[in-house]
Amino acid sequence: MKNELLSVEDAAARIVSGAVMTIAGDEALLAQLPKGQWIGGTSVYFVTETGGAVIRDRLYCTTLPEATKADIRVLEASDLPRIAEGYAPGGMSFILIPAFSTAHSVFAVDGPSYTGFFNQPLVGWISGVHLDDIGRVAPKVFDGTTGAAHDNAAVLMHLTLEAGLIPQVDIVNIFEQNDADAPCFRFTQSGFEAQTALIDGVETPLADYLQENGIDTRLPLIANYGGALINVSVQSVDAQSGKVAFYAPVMQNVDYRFAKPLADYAQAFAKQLGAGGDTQYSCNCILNYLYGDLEGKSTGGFTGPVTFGEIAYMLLNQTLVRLELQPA
Amino acid sequence: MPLPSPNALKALIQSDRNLDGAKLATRILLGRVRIEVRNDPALLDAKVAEFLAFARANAFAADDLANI
Repeated sequence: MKNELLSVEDAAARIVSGAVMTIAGDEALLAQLPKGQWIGGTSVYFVTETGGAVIRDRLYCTTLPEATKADIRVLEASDLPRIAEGYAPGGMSFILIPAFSTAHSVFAVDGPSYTGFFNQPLVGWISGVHLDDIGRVAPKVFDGTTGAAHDNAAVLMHLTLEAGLIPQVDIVNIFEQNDADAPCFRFTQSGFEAQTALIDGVETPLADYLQENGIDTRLPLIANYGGALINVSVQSVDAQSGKVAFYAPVMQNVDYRFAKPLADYAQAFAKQLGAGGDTQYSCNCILNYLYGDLEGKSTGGFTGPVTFGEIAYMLLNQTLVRLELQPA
Repeated sequence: MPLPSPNALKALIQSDRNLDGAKLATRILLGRVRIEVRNDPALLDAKVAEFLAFARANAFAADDLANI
């Protein structure tokens, strides 16, 4: 696996050579690429070796010589339950979904209940746009086999891998769940917004609670899934309507607690990630980029797109997803 | 790799024990199964069967669950 920032011309040459690739970049650049075995998603934010940056003149390319076959599919929201039908034995799959689309919300809520969903590593991200363009420009994903861009469907690339390679996917969450005596939040419905929560068992207007208690909503709510800490980030708190919106769905009857505050965001990443990221696929969350003020700050050797949501099986927030192809 | 017994899986699902060394898929699936069983305890046997099928299909999951 090789990660590089390439010009359109160099990325095009790589595609024409027959390489299997995932590509992230500005829509105008992705639209210039030739047809081939690649999938792409829009992003202009990246973590590079020298730190976070907005890049519009090059594409972040991951080339996968370890893939012996790549099947690319475009699935609309209604077809997402068929994700696992494309899994190749012993392989892995990439998935890219445009932010704010129906496919995004359907995948987030229902994905983990799809048949066979967990039977092989599924890694990817939610494509985005420059923050100044939200509401004016739709995030896109690209199917390299046709060159078509989609703003309301997921694109998947199912890989068959060389024998003897095992894909290992994991997440890096720099946050810790607050202590057990901190308030516990439960929701009576799964979804991207809520007006009330059961806080320590008492139904409470959520927006009022967050404001009255001075909760720092840059910190995510965290749930513990068997030892995997899964974040849900607060998008907005509307005091007038009482609605609290989230960047990923809160799930019904899951116990959430807010994260403990961090002293130094960038240092927390560098400490947890360590070395060796140059041969791994990774993506990091736009909220980490913003709240951690990561522009120009190095977070270690892990580089990749900064995204509107990360996927390691399920949709995640404020998390770095990493994938390594390890010898068996 | 031998699969865990249904009773061992039942105990795991009904506990708060973390599988810290397990693969991400195993941890997330355990978390989801726990939520589903908490919401509807009558699903326990079905969720044990689902977890066993997952472990049968994925050698890494059988490894993860070998010592529960």
